[in-house]
Amino acid sequence: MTQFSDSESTKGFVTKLFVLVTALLVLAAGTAAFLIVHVFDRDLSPELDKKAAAIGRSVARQVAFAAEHGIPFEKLYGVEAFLDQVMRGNADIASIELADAAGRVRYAAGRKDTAAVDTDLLELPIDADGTNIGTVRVRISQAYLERELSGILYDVLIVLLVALLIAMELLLVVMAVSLFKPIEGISVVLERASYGDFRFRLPVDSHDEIGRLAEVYNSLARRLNEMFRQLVDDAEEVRLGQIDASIVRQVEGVVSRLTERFNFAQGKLLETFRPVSAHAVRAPLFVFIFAEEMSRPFLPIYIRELYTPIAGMSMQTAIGLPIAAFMLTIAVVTPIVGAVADRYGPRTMFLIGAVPSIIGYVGSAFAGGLFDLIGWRVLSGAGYAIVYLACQGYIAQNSLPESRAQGMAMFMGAVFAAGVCGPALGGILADQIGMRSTFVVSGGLCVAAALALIWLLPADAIEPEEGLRRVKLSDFRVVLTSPGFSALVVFIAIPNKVALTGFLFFLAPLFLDQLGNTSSETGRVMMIYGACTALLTPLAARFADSVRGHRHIVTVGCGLAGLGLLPILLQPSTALLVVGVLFFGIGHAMSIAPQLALVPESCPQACAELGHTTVLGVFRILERLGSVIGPFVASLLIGIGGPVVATAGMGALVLAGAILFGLYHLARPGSRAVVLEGRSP
Amino acid sequence: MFSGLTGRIIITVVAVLLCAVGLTSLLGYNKYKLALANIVEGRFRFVLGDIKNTLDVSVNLGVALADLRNLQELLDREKTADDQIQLIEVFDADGTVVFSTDRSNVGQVLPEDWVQLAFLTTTEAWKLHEEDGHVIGLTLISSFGAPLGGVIVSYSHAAIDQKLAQIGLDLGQITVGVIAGYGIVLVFGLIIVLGRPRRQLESMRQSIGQFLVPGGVAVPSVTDIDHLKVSVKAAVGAIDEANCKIQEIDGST
Repeated sequence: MTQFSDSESTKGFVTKLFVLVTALLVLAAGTAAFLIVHVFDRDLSPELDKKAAAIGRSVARQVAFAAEHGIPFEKLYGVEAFLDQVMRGNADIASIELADAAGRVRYAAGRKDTAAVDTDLLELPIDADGTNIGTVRVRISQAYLERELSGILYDVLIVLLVALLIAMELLLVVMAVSLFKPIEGISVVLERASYGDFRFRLPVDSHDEIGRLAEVYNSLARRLNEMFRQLVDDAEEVRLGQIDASIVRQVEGVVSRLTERFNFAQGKLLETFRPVSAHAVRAPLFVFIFAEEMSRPFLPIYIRELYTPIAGMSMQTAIGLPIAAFMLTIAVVTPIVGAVADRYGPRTMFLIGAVPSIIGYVGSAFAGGLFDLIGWRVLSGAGYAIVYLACQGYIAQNSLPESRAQGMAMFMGAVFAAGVCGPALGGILADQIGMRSTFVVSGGLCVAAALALIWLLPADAIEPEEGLRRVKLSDFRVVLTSPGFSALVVFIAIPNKVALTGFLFFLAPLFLDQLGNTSSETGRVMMIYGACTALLTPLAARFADSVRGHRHIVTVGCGLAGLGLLPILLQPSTALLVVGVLFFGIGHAMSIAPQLALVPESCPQACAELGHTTVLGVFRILERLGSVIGPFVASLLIGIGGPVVATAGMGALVLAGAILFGLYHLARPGSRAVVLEGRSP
Repeated sequence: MFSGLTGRIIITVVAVLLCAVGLTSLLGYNKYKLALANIVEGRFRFVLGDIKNTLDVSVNLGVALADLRNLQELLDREKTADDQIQLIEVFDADGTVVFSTDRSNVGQVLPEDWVQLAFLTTTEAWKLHEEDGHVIGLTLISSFGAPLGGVIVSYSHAAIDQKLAQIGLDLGQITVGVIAGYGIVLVFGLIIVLGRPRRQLESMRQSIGQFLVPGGVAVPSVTDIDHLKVSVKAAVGAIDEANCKIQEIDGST
């Protein structure tokens, strides 16, 4: 309608805005990081010098003691072993050298390239009986300081990434609420007016350019309606004063000809046109999922700290209980809530869901034991399921069938973005303020999400009364009779969900902790999975659509996800676990969207009978079974052969599923792919 | 300026900038605190270990703790070399101080909880946080595995607190400086970027506003709202025409 609402113009403006904000945030955080690291370097170096001096004094004292007992400096025995022993306990020292009075180095330990510029040198004299017999040279390892400082840099990078994603989410919301939604309203109302429909007024929610434009249009519409009402009043007056039926008909004819061409408001008030925006739930959903994702890197460690021996249950199984309880709650609550969600509408459902979540997080923070924590996690799981459904329902209700895929992509975008930043920031916070406090932060974020929703989705926002058809028990029978669907669920969906919760949420944090990683480092590793899914899922979906090879992409993706977890058998190391998470992320990114596309393809009859949405609902519920049993499968495998065998076992399960899925489809060459439009998210 | 669309976007972005730089500084501060505590504690652990090694050599030769010559001199030298050290003491199996850098403490018994902790943690250094400083200690074990006593180093956290306060101030200045500097650039950048859509919206408002000129329908020549222009003109014309018709009918009777 208008030049401004033209998509090219809007896209260019939004691109400029995002580029500006990204560039300045990166520069600002980069400058802050540079200055902070500089200050730390300046302040920590003297502290390392003091330690080097203490070591130097100790060594000098020992050598002087020997000299005072008549042992010549050049004939000291076992000095290098002694220096090596000192070095071993002090990673911040690069080397220790003992030079004689002439300056010749007689004994040395540590790095041989200590003349390198990256070391600070501290020299202390060795005096025996009042005579100088040599010098102790202690070199401080700059590499140690750099390692300490690199930790800060990693944290800064994580904060920067999180800040950028949050900035983008907030900007999207501000733009949607302040600009796109009102512009859409203006476009629709002006378009209707251009076809002669003057019944609507625009909401004036602000006094900015858009508010003023709306006010001006409202004045125009009001004036036209006043003119029309005046005409109707005049006509009525003339009509009432007449007894001649033909004249009355003439007057009525004039008015009816006008109302045939134009639409004016019936009463005195114009109807306010308020468009709904799918973005209204994006930011609250992002914050809500972010709150849950924050606990991923440390939850198993936290459970282990609360663990007290339970008769007949291994520690690993006990650790898996709260994770499985959370997943089971989601699986159980989803169909129950789905049945009543439409009655209350997404806004109310979101707010209802936020309550158990907040209580669950705060309760988890103060949990006194394992069973307490299970109870709190059940509450959080119930809240999570309700909020997830509310947002999904809102998108489904407020998008047209032809743009529903875009709406779901926007929904998944918020979930993926939260999956990238949540674990990383959660890990940092757990290291710095503690795991319990991080749970409190999660509770606070849920409150923020609920407040954001109240602000962004007013109670009077349009909410269709009729929702989507919900899944019934009989639907499972209809869908599971299709062998293609069953193969997809048994070989692909369930094994991958088992591995997702069993490996990524349960095993990986414990294994990384065992390998000596901090929560921050675990968070960074888990972030890799989120980053892969966020970046690659849309690309993989587009590629799979373009080559029409969903089945092959799913098989290859799941194969990669499983293969990546096998090299850990060579050596249990953080590097190989990172490789595993990376392949797992890439594999899942490749297979998530094509899996969903395969669902209707694998059971066309069930889709015709029940509809795509119901079949997808059945698929979702079945794959959640995998999420529930994942931690138990992982704990069983840990019990059999430790974390290495458990990790490889998870990989083998996913890989075997992929191979069987591939073989199943090779054995059924007739089942050609049927490309259905608009089903990939 | 901050009440309109531009203002809302500026406030959002500056708030994110504030959070990003603020969080960066806060996390940096915490990291520094941990790194400083590790380095400082590492230094005193080394001093502690060094004294314990000296004691071990003598004890393994069968010399009783109380009979160690030169030990007092060593403790005094270590305390003098580091102004953060408050106290170095060696105690026997009963918890009685046998050597101390504070001579008045010799013969006194260490607090009950210190002694308990010392004899519970025999394989590694133990640590206590006291009101005026930190205490780290190591337990001396005889060659037969029996606890003989221990050595403690108490160091002040005033110097660490002072350093942390200074670093907090430095980080505060960095945070304010970066936010102010980049904030200004950001505000101007946003004003420039948002200028075009604002002007377009203003142009639309003026165009529609011209319909409201008293006494007529002065139609603006803005192509964007051509359809609206035609429609409004037609509606006004039709209402005027209908008015005339009704007056005509009324007049004819």
